[in-house]
Amino acid sequence: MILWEHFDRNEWYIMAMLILTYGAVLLLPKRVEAKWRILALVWGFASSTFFDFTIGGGLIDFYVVNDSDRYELTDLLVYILFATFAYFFIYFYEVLKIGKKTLVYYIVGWTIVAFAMQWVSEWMRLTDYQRGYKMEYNIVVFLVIQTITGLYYNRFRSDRSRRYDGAPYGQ
Amino acid sequence: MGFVLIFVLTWLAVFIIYGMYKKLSVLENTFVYLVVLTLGINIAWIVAEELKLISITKDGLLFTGYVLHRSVLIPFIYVILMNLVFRFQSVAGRLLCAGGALVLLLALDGVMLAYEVIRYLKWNLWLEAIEIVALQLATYLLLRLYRKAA
Repeated sequence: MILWEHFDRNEWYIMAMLILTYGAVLLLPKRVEAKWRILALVWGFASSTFFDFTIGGGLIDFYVVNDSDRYELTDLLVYILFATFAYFFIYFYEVLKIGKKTLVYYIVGWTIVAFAMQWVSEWMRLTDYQRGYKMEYNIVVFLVIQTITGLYYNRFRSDRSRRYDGAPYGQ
Repeated sequence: MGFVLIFVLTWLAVFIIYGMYKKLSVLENTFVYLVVLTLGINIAWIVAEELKLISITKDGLLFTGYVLHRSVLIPFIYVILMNLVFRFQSVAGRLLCAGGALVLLLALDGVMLAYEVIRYLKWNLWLEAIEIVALQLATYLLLRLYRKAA
């Protein structure tokens, strides 16, 4: 693991985005419970890690994050940055009072936001695509992640049961 | 055959979780899955790609088996383990569960080696065992923190 190859615009971009997004996470009113806030951050981190280490590295290796294929500290910071987007997804789900009928529009909206962010990331040299991979293929990734997030949250947000008593689910 | 075996074992783990008596809530089970997935991916990458202690197959189907093992089977085993650990009140019971999971995870590594999904270069089962115990401990402590915070 290395820190970075060259500290230039992609690193500055990550730093600025981290300050901006985590500043928002801290300052925004807490509209969802702590268990959801934590889980959203872990989910955002895990999903970005999963895709980067599966299609962005190893045998498939469709893109390079930051300056090289090596694991850089700034790669880790990118996953920490992505964690906040899952948080915002759930936050605005509550703010906009999204339900079953409006979830599809919400996901489409977030996909447009994510695509725009990806375009800026490419311009900032955060991601370099290779082996025929095109930026628009990310739409599939966005739709998969956001659909899972939306359906999961919609299904379990009202599930108040905490089965510490040992009672099995569904009974 | 290596891919089929990993797939069948993953399928079995899914059904064990589906049918088992769960002590953890849905959110807690998800938390355990995501934590193990994230830590597991990072450790696997550092060990194989950065330190070159293990080599991973270049065969497409076996690589799919590797991804399935890393991203579904292993985290699901930890989910089963944590449900069992929180079910037992005694330390001995909990340690027995952790020991059983350790043996199972090492046996799975044996399967991966036997079918040449991975190859140990400068790695061995003792180091693998240390990694598994460390991951079990980290998962347990993070889950306890999550339960406290939530």
